[in-house]
Amino acid sequence: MNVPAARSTPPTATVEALVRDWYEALGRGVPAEQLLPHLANGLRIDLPTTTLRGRQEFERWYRTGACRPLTGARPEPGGIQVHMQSPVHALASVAVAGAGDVPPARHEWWVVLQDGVPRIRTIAVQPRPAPHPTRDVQGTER
Amino acid sequence: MPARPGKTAIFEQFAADGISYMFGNPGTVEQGFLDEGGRFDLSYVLALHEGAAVGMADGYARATRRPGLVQLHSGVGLGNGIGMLYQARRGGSPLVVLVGEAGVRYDAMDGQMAADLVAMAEPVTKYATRVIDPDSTLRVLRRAVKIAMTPPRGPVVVVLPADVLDRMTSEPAVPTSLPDTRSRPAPEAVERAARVLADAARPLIVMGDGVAVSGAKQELTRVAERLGAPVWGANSSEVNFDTTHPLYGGELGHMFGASSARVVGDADAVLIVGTYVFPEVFPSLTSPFRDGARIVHIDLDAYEIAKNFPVDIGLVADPRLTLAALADALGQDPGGRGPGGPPAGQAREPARPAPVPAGEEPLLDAFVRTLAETAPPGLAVFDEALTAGAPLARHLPPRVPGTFFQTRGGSLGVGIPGALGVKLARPELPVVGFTGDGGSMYTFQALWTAAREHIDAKFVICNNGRYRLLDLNIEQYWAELGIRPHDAPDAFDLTRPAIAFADLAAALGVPARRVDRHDHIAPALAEMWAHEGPYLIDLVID
Repeated sequence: MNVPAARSTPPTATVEALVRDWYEALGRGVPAEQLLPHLANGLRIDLPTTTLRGRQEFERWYRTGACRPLTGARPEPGGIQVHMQSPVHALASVAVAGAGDVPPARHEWWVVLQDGVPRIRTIAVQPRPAPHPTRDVQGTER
Repeated sequence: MPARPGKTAIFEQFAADGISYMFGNPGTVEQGFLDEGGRFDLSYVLALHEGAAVGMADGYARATRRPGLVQLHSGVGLGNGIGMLYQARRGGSPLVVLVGEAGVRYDAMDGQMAADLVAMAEPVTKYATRVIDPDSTLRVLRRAVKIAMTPPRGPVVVVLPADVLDRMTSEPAVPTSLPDTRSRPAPEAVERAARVLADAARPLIVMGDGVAVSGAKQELTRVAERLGAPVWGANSSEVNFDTTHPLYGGELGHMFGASSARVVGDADAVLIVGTYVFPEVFPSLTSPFRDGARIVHIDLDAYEIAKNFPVDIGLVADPRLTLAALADALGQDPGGRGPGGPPAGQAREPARPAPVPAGEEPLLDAFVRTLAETAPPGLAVFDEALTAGAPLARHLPPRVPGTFFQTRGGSLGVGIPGALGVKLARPELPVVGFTGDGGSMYTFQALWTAAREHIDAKFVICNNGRYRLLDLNIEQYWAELGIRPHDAPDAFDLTRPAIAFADLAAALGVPARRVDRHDHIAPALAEMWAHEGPYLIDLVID
């Protein structure tokens, strides 16, 4: 993957490209060496069942192939929304469609400018609850 | 740069410096910037006491060699954290401590919680200051990071008045400039030092944590082997030298100058590197070195060189580069006159203690031996076991830099939070923190933070029911004053009532198990390693 370096505030398109390309690279199972340079110091990934901290723990986890909770589905079309929170912080909200045994989820990605380059600092995966079944006045579900 | 409140801008500065954790305990006057922090990526690690917050940051900073960020609440929070700040100051931990206060506008009011926070912090910090103008908020934060990270490293306090943080600033957030301090002495100075040491019949090396910070373990080993000099630790609480190397002498200790004098008094040349001399509570007031001994001292802290006793050659320089140059100057005949040392670069395998008949091995020894045999690869240890530390040195000898950290500075309570900081810094390593029953109770509530943050560190309480170190020290005191031994003061006892550590840990969300018999050891350790998350063992020892 090739994400352009930014010396000052990165445009939202740059952040969106980083998130999309890194996520797709993860799903393709590219060598870890291609993923690691895009991770910030103090990486934290909150998954439904565990928390990963730091690049080395991420790398070990990635090499086990246990990354399906993060990679099991693709972002929905137009599902990456980037909001610049400061000149050095971007918050990306990623809507992920369910696929197979992977439920729909929403990811929250923080991207920060470190050493003049946007890097992924945190990813939080939150399963999206199934839509509430609506009830009719008699209390039966439909 | 568009204007934004200082309470927003500080989080940009943290991001620019790659700071990802803030260890703290909140109060009312920090509510504005903590509220703002929720909008950013910084991970706030909540501690239930300021000592735990500083202790976690200390462990984190030591393991990452990066600044540890702390938030304390006003004068009361700073006061609670000062013991641990002293430890960080003595140990050279690069902490940046933010202390909130109500505001500059209230200076004349002498209101609730008003205190001169800078004056409170100065004795236990490398630098303390207060931001009074919003347009210098980030400038001061960068200065704090720079000072904390520049040798001699140490804690820095920045007081942040709430009204200053609420005002707008246009300062840009840019990475802090850290000066390169890897300096090398002039070649002729290195040659002189090499001659002094090479001419000695009984050279000796005293080393400390400046070696580890500089990454100079290998270079120190080369110099020791070329000189055939025994290596002793002074302010040495990390892996500065392989403790299984035949030239490793041991640790000088932190209590009595007479103990150090017995070690160094026979040497005719002493190389001191990466430490101050001597880090003792009761240091010798007269020189412990023999008359005519030649002293060479290498350190990046000019203040510490010849602080108490004259030296022949003082080199304010980076230990790694200087030791490398010194090794080259000493020639290429490694181990030529060493006292039975191995060839250069080789350490002996850890000496295995002689087998102890079944049932006679003390419980602590059996526990640590079994832990060493069953631990996952790469085990990192945070050692605050103090009087129970000898079995750790026997069965888990520090050899690999970055995998051993010991308490330093004299304050108790860093064992549990320090291990948490190390685990956050090196999440890929298994981490065990050893502490005592007395030491642990200063910061026991750090276990709650471990449970809350799912920090997968393990803890062992070496529970002997006493402040055992005080027992040992008062025996020496009696001997020096000719006082007949008698019962130690009741104030050293911790058994009335006995502390139920396993219950206490469980109440804070950490599963635990009590081990007081040999047949408890293996199942407890198996359960500990199988458990994903923090786990505590209450090890009942004599």
